[in-house]
Amino acid sequence: MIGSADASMLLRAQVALSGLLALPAKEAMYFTAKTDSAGRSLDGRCTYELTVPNIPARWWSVTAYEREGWLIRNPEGQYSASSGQFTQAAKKMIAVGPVPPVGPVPWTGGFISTGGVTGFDLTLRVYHPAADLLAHPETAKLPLIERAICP
Amino acid sequence: VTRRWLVPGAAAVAIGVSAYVATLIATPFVLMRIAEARVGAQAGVNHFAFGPMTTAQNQTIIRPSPDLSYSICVFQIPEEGYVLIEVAPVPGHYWSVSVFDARTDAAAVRTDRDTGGKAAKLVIHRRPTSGQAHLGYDTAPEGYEPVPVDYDRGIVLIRILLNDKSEFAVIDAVRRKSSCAAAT
Repeated sequence: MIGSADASMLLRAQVALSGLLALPAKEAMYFTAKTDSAGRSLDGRCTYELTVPNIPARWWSVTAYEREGWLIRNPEGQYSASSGQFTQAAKKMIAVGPVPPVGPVPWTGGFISTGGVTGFDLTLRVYHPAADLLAHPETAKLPLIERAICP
Repeated sequence: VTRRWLVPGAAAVAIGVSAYVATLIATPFVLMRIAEARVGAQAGVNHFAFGPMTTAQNQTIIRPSPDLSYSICVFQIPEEGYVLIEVAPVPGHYWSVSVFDARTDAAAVRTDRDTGGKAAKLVIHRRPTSGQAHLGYDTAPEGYEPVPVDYDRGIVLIRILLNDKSEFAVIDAVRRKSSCAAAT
């Protein structure tokens, strides 16, 4: 798996390029989305509703990056949202967009700024994943990314 | 509908097919050198650099997590010795220590779950060649878990998860009790 000595050279190069010093999968799993759930490229000028299912793990976070994997400059300093912000029972909805949501909004917590950049991606980190998730990452229930507002 | 997230393995294959084998082999070493140079400039070798929380303004390595405090030691195993790592535990928080060799492979990872909340104590040494009697850490103090590596250089990284960024001052004081030191 990623970060281990038995990783193939392809995987090793990819990890080195996209996430140098990544943890092995039993410690942390990394998933990246470059498109919304309808298949459109993520655009930082748009606002998205991110709905995170209950993920069987000790802790998770979602972080926005631009280009090769750099945090995006934004006045709020809001780069990520994590499981620590929600109770277990809460519906976990996060706004992802160029400005924080105002007024009555459906989001139950969390704002990740895109800084208004044209392209970005979202990385989901899952720390201490449950055994089933670790064994079958392809079956993981992953966040829904719905485009809400787009200028 | 949610299948828009790339599972890591699939992404590696998609990108890998268009690259040259030589580049693939060289890439981790080159990037690790760059990372070492950036980190080493802060603290030199065999010392932890206790970095601030990562922001868009101070990031040096791609895809940093803004929720974790990072402490990094570039290690260089001395000619006739080893490197001792001791990580102070941070109660009530996820923390881990990882040892990466010059090829970016994780030689060891220990977390608060592994240590039962106690300190992690590691001795990093050269992997002995077959038939070699000297293990490279014979004189290390007791209680340190051996971590054999195939390269003399690499990086040790401590990650500590902050529940809230306001905890940083408290966490910072605890983590500064951790140490990375060459010994012979």
